[in-house]
Amino acid sequence: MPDTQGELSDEALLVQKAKEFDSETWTQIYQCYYPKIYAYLSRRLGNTNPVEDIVADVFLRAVEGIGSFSYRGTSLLAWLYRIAHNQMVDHLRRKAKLNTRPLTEEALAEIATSEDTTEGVLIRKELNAALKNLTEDQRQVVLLKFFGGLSNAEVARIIGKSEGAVKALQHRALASLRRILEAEDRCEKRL
Amino acid sequence: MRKDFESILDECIARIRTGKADVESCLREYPNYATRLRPLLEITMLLYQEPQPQPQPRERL
Repeated sequence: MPDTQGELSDEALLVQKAKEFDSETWTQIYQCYYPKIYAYLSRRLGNTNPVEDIVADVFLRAVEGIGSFSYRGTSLLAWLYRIAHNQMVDHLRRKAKLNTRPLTEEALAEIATSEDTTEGVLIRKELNAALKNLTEDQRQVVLLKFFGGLSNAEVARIIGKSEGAVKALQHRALASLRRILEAEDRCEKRL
Repeated sequence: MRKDFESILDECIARIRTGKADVESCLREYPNYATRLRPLLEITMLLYQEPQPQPQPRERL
């Protein structure tokens, strides 16, 4: 069983078996990576979108496209994140065409219920709300690296930037989150 | 070769993630950058402690 950080003990063999459509291998991939892909899309789209449907599409695309996947430097998980990102963009484009309310910025703070008042939950709510204020690239870096467990190189490939740019985005994202949380803290103290 | 701040921050984040260091040990290692590093590494800790959204059981295939 692969570990939860996407560092498979023998990923090349896993990919080879996946290319042979070995059902046990695909079950293993699904069980290992479904929670990560779900979490990524859930954070990006919020609870009001059909996240589970999009995750199902991600794995369907993966089965269809595994033949073209080349295990050289890109992990299977990073590849799945890239499919997830593309599926998310497609979903949002379809929604925009239907002229529905834009949903990309809502519900990041919906992890906790409204009745929760413990300090930890409040901090998490603030953190999730602060993530909405990052730029798209900064948010991608935070989600893929800190929540997704990807390396700088993998994040760089997914967002189409250099590793140096990922480090810079990481720095700016953390600084922005700190500023936003401090500002919120100052506001609360004034009230 | 002298490391730039972003590389030092990245190194500290990697070490915190793998459990090889904590915020205080990173600050001790780079005392000249401690003031700038501390707030960023504290946010890093918050991010790593953040629970992952979990699918509801009925949502699993």
